[in-house]
Amino acid sequence: MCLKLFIFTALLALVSCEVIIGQDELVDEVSGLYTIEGRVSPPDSLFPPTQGGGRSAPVNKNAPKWHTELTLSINDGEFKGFVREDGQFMISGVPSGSYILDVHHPDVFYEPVRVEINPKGKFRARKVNFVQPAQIMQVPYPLRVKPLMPFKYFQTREQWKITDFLFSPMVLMMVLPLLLMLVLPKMINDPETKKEIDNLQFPKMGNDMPEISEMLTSLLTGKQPEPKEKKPAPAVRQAKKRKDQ
Amino acid sequence: MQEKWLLAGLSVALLISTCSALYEDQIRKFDWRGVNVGALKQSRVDLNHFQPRILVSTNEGVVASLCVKTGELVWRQVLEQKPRGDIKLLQVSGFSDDSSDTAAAPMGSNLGFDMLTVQGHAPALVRGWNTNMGALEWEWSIMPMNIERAQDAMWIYSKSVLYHVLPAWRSHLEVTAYFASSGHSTGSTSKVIAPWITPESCTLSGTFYVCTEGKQLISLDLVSKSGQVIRTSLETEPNEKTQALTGLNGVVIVDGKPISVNKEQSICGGLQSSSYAVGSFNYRKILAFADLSSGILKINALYLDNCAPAAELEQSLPFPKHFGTPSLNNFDCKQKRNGEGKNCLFLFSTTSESIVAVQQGRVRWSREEALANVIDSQFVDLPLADTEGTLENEMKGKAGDIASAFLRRITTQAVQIRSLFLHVIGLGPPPTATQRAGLVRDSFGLHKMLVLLTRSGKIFGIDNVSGKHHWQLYLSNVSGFANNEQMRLIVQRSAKHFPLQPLCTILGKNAVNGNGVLYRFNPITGQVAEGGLVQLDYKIKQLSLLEETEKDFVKGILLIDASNKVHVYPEHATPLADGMYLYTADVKSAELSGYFIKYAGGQLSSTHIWNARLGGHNSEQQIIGVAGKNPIEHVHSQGRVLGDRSVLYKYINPNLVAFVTQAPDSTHKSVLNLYLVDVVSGSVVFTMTHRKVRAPLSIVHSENWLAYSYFNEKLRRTEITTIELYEGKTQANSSVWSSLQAPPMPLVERQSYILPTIVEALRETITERGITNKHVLIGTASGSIVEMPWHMLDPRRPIASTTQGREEGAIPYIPELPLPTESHINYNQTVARLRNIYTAPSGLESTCLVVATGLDLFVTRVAPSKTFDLLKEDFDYILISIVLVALTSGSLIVKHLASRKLLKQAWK
Repeated sequence: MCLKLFIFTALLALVSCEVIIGQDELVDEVSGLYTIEGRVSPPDSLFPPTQGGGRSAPVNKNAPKWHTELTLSINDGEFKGFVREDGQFMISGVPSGSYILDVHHPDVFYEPVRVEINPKGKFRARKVNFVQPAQIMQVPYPLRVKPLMPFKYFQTREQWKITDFLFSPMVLMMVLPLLLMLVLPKMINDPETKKEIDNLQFPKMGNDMPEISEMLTSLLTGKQPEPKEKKPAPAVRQAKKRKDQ
Repeated sequence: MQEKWLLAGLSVALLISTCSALYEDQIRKFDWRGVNVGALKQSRVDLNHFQPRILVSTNEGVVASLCVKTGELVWRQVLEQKPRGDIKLLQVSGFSDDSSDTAAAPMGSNLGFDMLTVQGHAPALVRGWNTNMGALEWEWSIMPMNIERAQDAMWIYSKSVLYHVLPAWRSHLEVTAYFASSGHSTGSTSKVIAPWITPESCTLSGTFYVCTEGKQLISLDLVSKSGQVIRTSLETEPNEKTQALTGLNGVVIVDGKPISVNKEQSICGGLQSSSYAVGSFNYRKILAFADLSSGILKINALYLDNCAPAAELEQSLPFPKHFGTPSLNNFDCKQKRNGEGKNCLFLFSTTSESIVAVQQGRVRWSREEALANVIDSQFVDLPLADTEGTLENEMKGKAGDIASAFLRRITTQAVQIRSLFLHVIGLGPPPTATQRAGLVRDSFGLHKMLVLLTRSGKIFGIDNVSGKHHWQLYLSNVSGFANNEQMRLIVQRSAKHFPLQPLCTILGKNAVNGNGVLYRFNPITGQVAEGGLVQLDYKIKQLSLLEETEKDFVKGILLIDASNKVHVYPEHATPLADGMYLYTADVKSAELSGYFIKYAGGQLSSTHIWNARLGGHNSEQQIIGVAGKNPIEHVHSQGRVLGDRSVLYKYINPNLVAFVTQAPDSTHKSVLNLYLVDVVSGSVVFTMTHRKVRAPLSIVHSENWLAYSYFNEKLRRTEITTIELYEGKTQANSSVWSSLQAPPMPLVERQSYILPTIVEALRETITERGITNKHVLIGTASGSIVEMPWHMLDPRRPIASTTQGREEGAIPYIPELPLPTESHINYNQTVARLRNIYTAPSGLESTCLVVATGLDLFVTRVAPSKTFDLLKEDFDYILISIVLVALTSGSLIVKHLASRKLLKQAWK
């Protein structure tokens, strides 16, 4: 129809004083400006929807917004590209040179790509390596930009767990000697050593089932007859130490 | 490479365990972000029932869609930086100047568009946007042959065709037509001979190119085949440049009067207004106009076909002063839900860069877009509560004897008890305005008033915790200084001097005559204080702050004018200027000059004492960066303990300023020079040269160190160089610093690192006493703010892992500095076009307040050494109380048991 006619005339119109970029290779050479093209995979492609439920839900909620949240920029916004609904993008009007294309999304990490355009208009894309710029690792062009991982901005709060409490050095220091005190006398089978221990350390302790309170009392009452007022004090002090932990 | 990354990451993860990251539940507890679009350029209000929307383009190169009800952003696309991102045309489908159908292509084909933008000139980019979600639909670009001329190019849209109008001044116009959505040219360029066109006199109104010449308008219809020249005579010669009236083809506004040059477009006569807009109402075209007179905004409207007034639309409302002068940008009306009458929304842009929406005789919402260009910021302490204020007074009391002090204590306490009693029975004095607004100092000094100065001259007082705008001020006709220096915001008196109110001053230039302007105000209430606006009768060349005066605790401002005369404001602080040193730097010629100020016989005089030319042998170098130290900085630690337990003393020269110059070079492309200059004596302490290195440059200078980032052209990456200065193992004078009897040249440690990003801004954290570690905040191009501990940037990081380095606690050198995501202090709240970061100490030694500015605004706080002076917010009070109670009760029970046992044993 008439549209076809228009396109036909448009092709004839190369004589005009301006050139349109991104139409064909010939024009690119005249203006010295090129178009970088590629496709970005949306951030929610990181989480396959088949899993269902929990993980993919919060990302999917923002799915329509990713077109405006994602930025493709070169040289701090000197050149920029915008994604279409299907994820395709183009950055037009770029002169030949070497550029780093930063793909930035606030929640998901995309790897930057170095795009090199030689003066003849040949494109080459490679991985960015700042430390050894000579090392070349090519990636396909037109670019395929895929999300690598979600950004982890936050520390996870420590939750109070019984294991953390039990394995903390303070608790271990207190509990282990206690266990030793309880278990060791039982484990020693030799009656002579047993007797020796009894005589040496706990002279007044009987041979029957030792009890914590019993042990403590026997320990504390063994030598001094009236230590009763002092007893609570060390316990409280220990408690304070534990709080500092 | 992957392994290397992993290794580096692992080693760093171990080292950065000291670095604090946010917890997820801390989001928005003390940080907030303001999202802006910039001053309004073009807008389109569309109140249809399916999807009401406001589409805008702005001076900052942003296209966005706003919510009609609240003005919030639906979506935003930040375009390229200028000149490429400069938006020339915003065309929304269905709205055309000549009322033709624009969405000519059938739905679903990729030739139609919702909205198109034309931006830049070399190349010019044409983009079609999906207005529902802000995604791009198509894009094409053209590269003009003559780039210089293309700057003046204009674009018009008519009947699915986009016309590129390229004027060749005083000669002709070149008009090229393209199919809007494909970019195909419709034919060859047509040349229209027009020798009368000049940049000052011409505008493009729809398809008409209109120029004024004397008392007549000469216009050309660029689209019509005839190319006929139309002359319209005027009553008087126009005083202002003519403006196009968007929405009507061939109508221009000459001195506030609309005049039609299009035969097919008639316009009502006898109108006079400052701003017009065209819309439709009851299926008829309507012309609305709005004027501000003595604080009342009046909106009127006329039907275009019969010039009858549309009374339904007329409204007037008080218009707040801080918005400046409004200009009607666009409007639209819709049928009310109950079918009675219509509801119109008028969108105004104002001189203070606000976007104001007016509906039904009141301001429905407003957006403060001046905040997209913040140029200076200060955190001001909030005033004390009254009771604390009297206590403060008592502490300050100079009377020494015990009896009077005791008496005063008793009376203040009696007053306190009385006020408490009155408060309880509800008879107390009403709370002051600031108290009602919750503006009372908190115990840790974390809650402050954030005063922001913007480029348009609007000043904001914002709550740094909630983000609420407490007050706004607008200074018209004030602009930044020469040499590309912006206006300044200075705190002349802090909130420490109860009952005196804090005092801030803005220093700028009168936009008309270039003389200096002072504006003094109270930063808590936003009210004018101590004289308010003062027009100086001289141009300001340099300014400095003096010591506090004894009388009213005001820090005087020392000003040097263009003829090197010295002035002090306020005048009673003049004697304090005696013995001051000042320096000036000319950016273009890279010339520094030092001055000495003397006070003798009631007169101040300045003596030029030194001169330094950093311009290089052929004066090509230009200053691209100047960095002094923060004057409120405290250096807590005087030295650094080495591996062998000796101390390396820091070279802490408060007068040291870093200057960076750049010049093109024939062999090395571009050369960057760094100079560390003592600006009192003029001696150059250290210089360094980088070859094949260019801007963008960011510097941060603090204590005895300096860090600056630049772009390495040879290896095409951003690098950061850090420098530390040390006096050596002995200190020349530990009590006082004198630049005139300076110690010998310092030892210099330096190192460079690679940063895997483009740096936009660098800033050091600052705390009350300087005990807390210093971290460097790095603002990146993607809008993140990364907190980098100084020990990562330390130039003493050993390359080979030596025992000495290890004992010193230095991390082995790794060339690339990692930017772990845990240290991004603004998590996913990126700041578009980040420009600057400001820091200020809080009342807590561990905590530093941060505001990052750019197109967006982000306010937060950081604790570089974690909050060591504060209990963690997740501190488990319940657990600690349970443990305490359990232990006490346990010990009591045990005591009881023990006594029973004792009793039993006694019976045995």
